[in-house]
Amino acid sequence: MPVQTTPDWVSNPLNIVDKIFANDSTGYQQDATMLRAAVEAAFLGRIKSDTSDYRHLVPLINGLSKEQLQAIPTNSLVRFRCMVRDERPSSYHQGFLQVRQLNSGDIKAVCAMFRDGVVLEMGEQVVAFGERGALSEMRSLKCVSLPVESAWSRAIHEHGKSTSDKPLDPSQPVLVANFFAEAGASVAVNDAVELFGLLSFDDPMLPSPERGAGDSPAISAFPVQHDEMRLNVLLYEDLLHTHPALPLDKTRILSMSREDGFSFVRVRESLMELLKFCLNGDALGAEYLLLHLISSIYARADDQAIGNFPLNLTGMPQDVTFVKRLLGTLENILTQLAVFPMSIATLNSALMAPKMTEVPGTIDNELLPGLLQLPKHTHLALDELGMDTGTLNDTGCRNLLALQKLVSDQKLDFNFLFGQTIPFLMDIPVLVLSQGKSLVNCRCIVPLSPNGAAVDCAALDEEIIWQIRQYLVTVRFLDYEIPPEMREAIVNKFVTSRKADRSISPDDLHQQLELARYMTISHGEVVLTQQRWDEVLHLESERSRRLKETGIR
Amino acid sequence: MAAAAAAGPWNSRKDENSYKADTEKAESFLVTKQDKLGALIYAPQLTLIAHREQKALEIDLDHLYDFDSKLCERVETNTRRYGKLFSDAVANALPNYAIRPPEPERLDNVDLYMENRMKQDAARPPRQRIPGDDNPVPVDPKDRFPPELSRHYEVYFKVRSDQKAKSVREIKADSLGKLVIMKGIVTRCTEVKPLLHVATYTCDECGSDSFQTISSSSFMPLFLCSNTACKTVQSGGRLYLQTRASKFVRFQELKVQEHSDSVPVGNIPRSITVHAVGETSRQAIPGDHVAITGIFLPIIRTGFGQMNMGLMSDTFIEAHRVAILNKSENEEMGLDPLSEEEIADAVAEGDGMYDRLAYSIAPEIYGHADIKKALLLLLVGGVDRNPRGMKIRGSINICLMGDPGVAKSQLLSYVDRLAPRSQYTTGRGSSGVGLTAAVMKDPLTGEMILEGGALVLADQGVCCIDEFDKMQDSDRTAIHEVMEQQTISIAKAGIMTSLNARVSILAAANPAFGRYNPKKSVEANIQLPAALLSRFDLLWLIQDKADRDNDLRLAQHITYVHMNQKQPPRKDDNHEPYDMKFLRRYIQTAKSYTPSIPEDLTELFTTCYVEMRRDARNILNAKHSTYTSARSLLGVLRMATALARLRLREQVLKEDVLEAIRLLESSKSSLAGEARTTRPQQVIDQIYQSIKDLFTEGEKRVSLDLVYERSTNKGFTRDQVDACLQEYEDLNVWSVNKARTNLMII
Repeated sequence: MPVQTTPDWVSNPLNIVDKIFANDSTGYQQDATMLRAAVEAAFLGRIKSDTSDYRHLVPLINGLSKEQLQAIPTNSLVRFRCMVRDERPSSYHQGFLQVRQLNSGDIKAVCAMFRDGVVLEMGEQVVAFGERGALSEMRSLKCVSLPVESAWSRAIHEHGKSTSDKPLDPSQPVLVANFFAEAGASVAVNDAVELFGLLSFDDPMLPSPERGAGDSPAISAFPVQHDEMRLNVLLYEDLLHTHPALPLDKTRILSMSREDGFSFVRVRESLMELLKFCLNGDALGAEYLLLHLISSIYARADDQAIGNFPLNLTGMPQDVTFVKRLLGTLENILTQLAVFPMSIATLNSALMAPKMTEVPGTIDNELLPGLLQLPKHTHLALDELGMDTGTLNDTGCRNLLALQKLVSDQKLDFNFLFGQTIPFLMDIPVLVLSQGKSLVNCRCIVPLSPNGAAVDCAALDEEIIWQIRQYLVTVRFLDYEIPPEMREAIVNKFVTSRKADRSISPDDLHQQLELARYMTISHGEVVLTQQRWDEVLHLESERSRRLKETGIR
Repeated sequence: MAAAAAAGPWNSRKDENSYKADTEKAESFLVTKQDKLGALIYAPQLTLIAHREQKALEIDLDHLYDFDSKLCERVETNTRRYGKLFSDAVANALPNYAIRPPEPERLDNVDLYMENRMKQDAARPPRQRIPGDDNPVPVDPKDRFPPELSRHYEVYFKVRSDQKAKSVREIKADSLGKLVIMKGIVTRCTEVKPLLHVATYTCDECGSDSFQTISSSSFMPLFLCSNTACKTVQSGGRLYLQTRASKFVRFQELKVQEHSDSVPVGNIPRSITVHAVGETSRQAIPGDHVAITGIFLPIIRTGFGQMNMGLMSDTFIEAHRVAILNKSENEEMGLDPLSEEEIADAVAEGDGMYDRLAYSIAPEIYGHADIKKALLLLLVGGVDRNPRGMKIRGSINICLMGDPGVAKSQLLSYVDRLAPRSQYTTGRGSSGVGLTAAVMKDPLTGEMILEGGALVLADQGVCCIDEFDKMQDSDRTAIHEVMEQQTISIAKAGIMTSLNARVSILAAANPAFGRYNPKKSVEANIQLPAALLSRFDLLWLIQDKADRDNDLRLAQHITYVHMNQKQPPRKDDNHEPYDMKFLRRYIQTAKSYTPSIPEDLTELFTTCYVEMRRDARNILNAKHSTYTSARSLLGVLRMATALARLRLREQVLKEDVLEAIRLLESSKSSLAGEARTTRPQQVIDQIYQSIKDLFTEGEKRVSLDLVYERSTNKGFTRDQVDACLQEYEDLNVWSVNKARTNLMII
């Protein structure tokens, strides 16, 4: 890619803000949200147009260490693909100031949004805090780099730099993202967002040695964390998905899938081949794995997570390379994959759900990050093969319960001290790899039965891998419906088969309906047909036959 | 709105005259305000304050609103300023209320210092007038010392009673500078530290004093003496801080976190810092649920130098009143109890209400009406009793048994979601520690801490235990204790203690041999000791019976959910289930009743007991004998009180007892399997009601012909009426004479 010069809107974005403000300074002072909207529109137009995307011009700060961050010029525009991990108590800020030139006596309005402080010239003095009502609430969210982003995904951002193979620097500081003028109200904890903002590090409110403030012996009762890094947000976008090369827009993603050279059915076939290869030729296992990979929660009805499709692959060979190859392949096609090696030791020591703890030396509390705090559509693989006998301590039990709750309800209980827990709604497809039936109960268990007949996909064409990655994101956006006559047929079938066999439970019907959905959309179709329904029933009967054979109830 | 807020703390250009007038008004309010009986409210307190016997003066804004509503509104919107005005008003009024000087032991170091200085001033020859000095040293002590130094009281405001406590989230910018009341849970608090309020300095050259009143969190100490004497001769006198002559107040910071109920989905509970100064400090500790009245203020952090201007400010609340809410109150806080109209409606609806409430429990599970009714009783709970020191628990324990896949777990998880304090655990998944309590070592301090397991965490709530049969023996021992004594004893790592675990246990168990075998006893089926099983008030066997209509409804329901991504609407209006929130509110309200059992029902209980014992011996074979014991009678008692609560009544009625027995029998017949079909209870109940209506006030006898006539008119068959008569005769409710002409109430 050719080296691009940094445009002015990236190197000095506040210039643009000030220009916009100067256009109608009296009007904007009445309503700071108007200014915010104008600034958002101006930068959105620069970041992307209907046809192209220019966000790569804005430096990405994911995974940068503290020193690297500090090397970035203050108040230049940066981009942060992140997850919201915690929320700080909201504070207030002054959107505008009235500044008087001492010599001439002129008073001018100065915009103070999107920055920590206003730099005054010599002989200037702040005479008033803006118009009345200019004080507004500022939302501050603590954000971290998008967790477990796949190496290929990061490589796209970094244009193939060699650093991309290394895992993210875990020491990257938490950034505090400030949202001005009521922005960011819809952003919730655990959300994945892309922020465009201005970095700032030092606290202008406190004397620092460089400022020569040694003669002010003030003691503050409110210690401010010096190492806090802030990002004053100009604009943000919800990450509907985390595929870096696909647009963040449903219609455009779907229209891309209709372009030449892309066919759901063909990509599905390639993906099946790949998964079959990973599972030593087990077609049934590959089919279920494929449906699992495209699963997501699409509704919650009466606390039930509809679309939840956790999968337990049992009968995994005790072969390190097998698991490694499987997980490696999944990492290569998914945007985000977290792997948790389950063992007595890891269960007893890990922290699954975030927990509120005291920040030493202050009166503040903050959330201790939990392993399961992951944004939507992050896949989680539990590798139970390292599990041995032993005793789970209290933490271990709680962790196991947290995992179980995630698998069955897609909920994670955050612990806020003194018995205050709040369930957060998650959307993390969980894949459990185990020898026998797992400790974590999944509704769908598939015992593997490798038969060895698989095409070697070890060196799959990069073009095909690319399409698979696109496919896995795109199918999630397909609309789906069950035609009334299909419903009728399904209901009748259920009633008659239940008459014959009482062991068929309502949960089975739930599962069949989930499978039917994924079976349909995995072919790029949007309406359930009898053919797909029959395929699902066939899969399920094959699976239950295997379950009987292996003796798993 | 926000404009007013901005004007509040920062706008100092107010008409000073109006403040002066308000100070006078405040004084007259304090001096004259009387309560409804005509007694002065604040004047006696002023005397106490003058005598240093009271420190905090709490002004109830209800009183002030009554006195001058405009003034009250000004206090509410500009509280800090008006706090000072009221403090001034008290100072003005105080000399008139000091009947005698304060007791010597109530004087402090500042008093001694001031007295000392006054004596010195008196002894010193009148100061020579220094040319050019227009400000001779004042001699009036009121002017000689800053007012804050000599004030030994603090003025606090109490919000008007019609103000509802807000959550942290609801306090917004428009409240800045105003008096607010908010609720939450204290998560942290600092030690109480002395805060410098008035700094007193002495000059090393001229020996005169300088004072500095400090009202912010940080201050710049004075260095150079500004006394005229020093200034004129340019001696450059240095000032030294006199700790003993300075005034300190107690200062504590609290962190209050919003209650988890008021947090919107996907949000973190917000918290706010509270500054508790003077009398408001040391009121709460972490873990307390509190309602705090105070002024919402910004922390203005000013920049140093002219280059940068601080634009962001954090906020805090300056406490005026810290009230601890007890646990039951706090649980109500998230949920408003039912209004009086709602209670009246519910009472009017009677049995319909009971049915509908039960129907609303896990509405996605069809049928099982009696089980749902029992769960409702478990959620409401019976009344705890302490007759002559013996503790009888009120909580109801239920065990659901059944073949795999009959919605046991669904019922459990529904109850877990519904109950405000509940813990869900499985017998298999939790170690003894998880179910009981763990001894932990604090990694920082090395201190041993007890951490409650599921049972302790569910204190005053419900503990749902799935796979009860898979539990370890050690846990069963703990469960034994919990179910009867409602405590857990812990002897670990040198700590011996007993923790409260006032929980209702809802257990689910799978049959030991895959399917429940009605021919075997309960213990054999579940493989749990009889002693443990007898602790359950109700044991229920849920069976999945083939039912085409039910299956059809089920399938339609599930497909609807998948097609439309929401629950289907229910057509039958009467059976529209209540939502969870209403259920919670209803249960909360019902729990506030403590129904008593009237004397005349004792007989009925005794008869029931005898009946039950006979039943156990005769009708059913030995397999259920362990299950009917004195505990069963207590169970009936508990359920009857719970039923009375559900009907929102303060007294247990006969119907409650009968319904409790009916539920007990229904649970027993479920165990007996298909052998004994359940009676068409609903009809018999209805007939009983209609017959009961025939007994007019004071009448004990009614003609049997009339009974048959009335019942037939209502559409019941003669056989049904006979069945009803027989059933209640068996229960000794009434008797039919030998000639079968009259029915007599016993």
